Amino acid sequence: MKKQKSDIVIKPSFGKQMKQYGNLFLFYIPAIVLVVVFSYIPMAGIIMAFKKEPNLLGSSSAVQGILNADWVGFSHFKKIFSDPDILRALRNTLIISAQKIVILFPIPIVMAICINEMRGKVVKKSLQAVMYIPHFLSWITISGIFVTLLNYDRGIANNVMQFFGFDRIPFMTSNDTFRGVLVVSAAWAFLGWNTIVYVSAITALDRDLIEAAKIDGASKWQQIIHVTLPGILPTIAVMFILRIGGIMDAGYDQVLAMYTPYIKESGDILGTYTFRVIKEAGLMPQYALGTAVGLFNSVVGLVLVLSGNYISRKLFKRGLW
Amino acid sequence: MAKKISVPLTKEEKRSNVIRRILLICLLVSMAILFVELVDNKFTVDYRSIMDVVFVLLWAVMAAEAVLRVYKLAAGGSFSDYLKHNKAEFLWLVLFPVILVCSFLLPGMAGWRWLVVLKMPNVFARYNDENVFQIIVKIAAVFLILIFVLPFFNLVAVAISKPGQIVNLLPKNIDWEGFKYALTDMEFLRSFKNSIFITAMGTIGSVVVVSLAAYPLSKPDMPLKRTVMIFFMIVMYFGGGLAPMIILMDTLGLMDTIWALIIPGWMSVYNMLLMKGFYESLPPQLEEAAKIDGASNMYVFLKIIIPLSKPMVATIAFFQVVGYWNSYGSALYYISTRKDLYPVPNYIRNFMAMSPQSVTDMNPTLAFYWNNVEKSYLLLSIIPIMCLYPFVFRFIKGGMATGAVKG
Repeated sequence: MKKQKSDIVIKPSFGKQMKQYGNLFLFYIPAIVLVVVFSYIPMAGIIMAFKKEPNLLGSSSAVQGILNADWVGFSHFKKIFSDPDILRALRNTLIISAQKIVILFPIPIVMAICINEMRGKVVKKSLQAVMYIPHFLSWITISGIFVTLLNYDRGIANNVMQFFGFDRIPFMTSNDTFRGVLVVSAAWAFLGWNTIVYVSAITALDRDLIEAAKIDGASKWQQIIHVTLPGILPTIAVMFILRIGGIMDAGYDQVLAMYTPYIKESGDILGTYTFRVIKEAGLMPQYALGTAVGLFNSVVGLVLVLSGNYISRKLFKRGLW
Repeated sequence: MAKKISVPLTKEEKRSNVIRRILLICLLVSMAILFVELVDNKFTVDYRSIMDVVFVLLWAVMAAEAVLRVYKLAAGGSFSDYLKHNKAEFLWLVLFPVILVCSFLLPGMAGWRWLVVLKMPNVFARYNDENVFQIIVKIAAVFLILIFVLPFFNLVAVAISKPGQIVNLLPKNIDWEGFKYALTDMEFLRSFKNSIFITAMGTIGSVVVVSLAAYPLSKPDMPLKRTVMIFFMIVMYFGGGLAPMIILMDTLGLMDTIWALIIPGWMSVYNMLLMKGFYESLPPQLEEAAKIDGASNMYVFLKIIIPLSKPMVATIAFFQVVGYWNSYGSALYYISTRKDLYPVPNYIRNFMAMSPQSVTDMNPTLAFYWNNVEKSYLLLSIIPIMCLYPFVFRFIKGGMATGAVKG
């Protein structure tokens, strides 16, 4: 630590701080080593996105292979906007994300308000006890559960539909219904968990305001609309901006767990496309193309998160950092 | 002592009581009819027309009440007042007969009958709204509880019923062969063992790394704090992606080893922020007192901070246990030839991708009980998480888990 950048005023000088806390730098070591190795070094691999496919088998080391590959500029990125498969994956990503946001974003807010207002302990406690469970299950398990529920021949959903005189539907393998399955299973998995933020926001509200509104004769509906909702509006806004920031991730783990070739048309998202290109291409993994698609995805996501954070700081004085 | 005081109702009140009950029944029954017509294809045309007639009658009762009420108001000379506050109801009153007639004439407009729900506020407003609210919310809550719980019932029922029959929520002809097969399947048990090893090593390592790294960051006077913070935060929002990661693992020689599934997960920036938030919430006086007595940073951390942080460490450990136990991505990426290193989710994923026909010759029992075995695997994979869940539930409910999302 040669850089002696002394801080001004009240704070003790850098040297003094170092004397007091210097040995605490040891605490960082494992974390920093892990972050450098498993996060920053892979970031250097991004140069593959601007190069030809590296010849990994024919080079002395992977690094040599990557460095020796010829530069191709932005041609991989041009491919993103011309290749029909990638374009379809991009479109699916955006559609699935949008469906999830529109349908699933408001529900936890309503649930949180209802849970907060609910009297009596039995129903409230049991709801809270069961609604977090799906969040702790693997997507493989959830996908297994939904495969069971939606099975064409024996699934309970189709049994109920048949009882009421409808035709059986192959939910998991039909392009018409697969996105619906994604939204419903995401709802089952996350709604309970997502209410936590709002419940704690409501709990932090001033209870006196609601009491005052009650005394003024506000009905339940009016209390919610005029007191509770405005109170948690900043939380809602921050969560919404965050959600928009995550629009490029349509639920990669989920889709990968439920993916079958039948629903390629409606369910192939950028994440699963990259996975296929890299991992399921047999002996010819397209590392460069995969990196380019991944980079495009995360840059768009990053831009959205940053601008969302900026807006949220401007409007609500709250952000991620 | 709060004793319920009963005041004899006036004639007026009794009458309005009767009216509001009738209206509520009318509304609920008519919505039930619409719902049945919506979900059911089985009823014959006769039944449907009977239901239609009943719907119209119920609606007529509601409309008659509204017309009478408005007529009375108009006779009393306060019609303009009514119009001012109840525009919506008046509009509904005028429009709904038209919509109803249209819905019978034009089949495409049948769905418009659902507009009868717009009568709801008017009916509910006659009740004490706190009670109505509670009733609605509780019905919805029970409904939600069922949604969250019934899939598990279905899973259990399928897992322990004899194959080849349609099973809904309750098991039929109980048969434990599927479970027995799953519990004696050496490959599954090996994946279970792998998962336990991965989860244990991953969680211990991660708790150590995270609780160490978060401590200096929680110190307000720590030098270079901002720089280190940015260094960590960048990782949270940006990464190299899958391809460089696979090449890196290959170069490090971690490919096809179990450590590839453990080490990358040790450092979680999100958990570090949770931990940092918790350290910051501890009273600084404790530390200062120890420092004055000449304790070193190390001593303070080990003897004062760590014992105080048990609840947060438990929460983070639980998150890590869940994360490692459920993760199937890393085994998918970093394990290609050593299938014996697969953790439980990947074993199940592989199993689900196969078809029973592929084992008919080798293992007819498995082929016959295929579905039961699959569901048993799923259920067995949930059990460890479910055992831990009750202990962590109270931390989750306390909002501790959301500490990092400043809210």
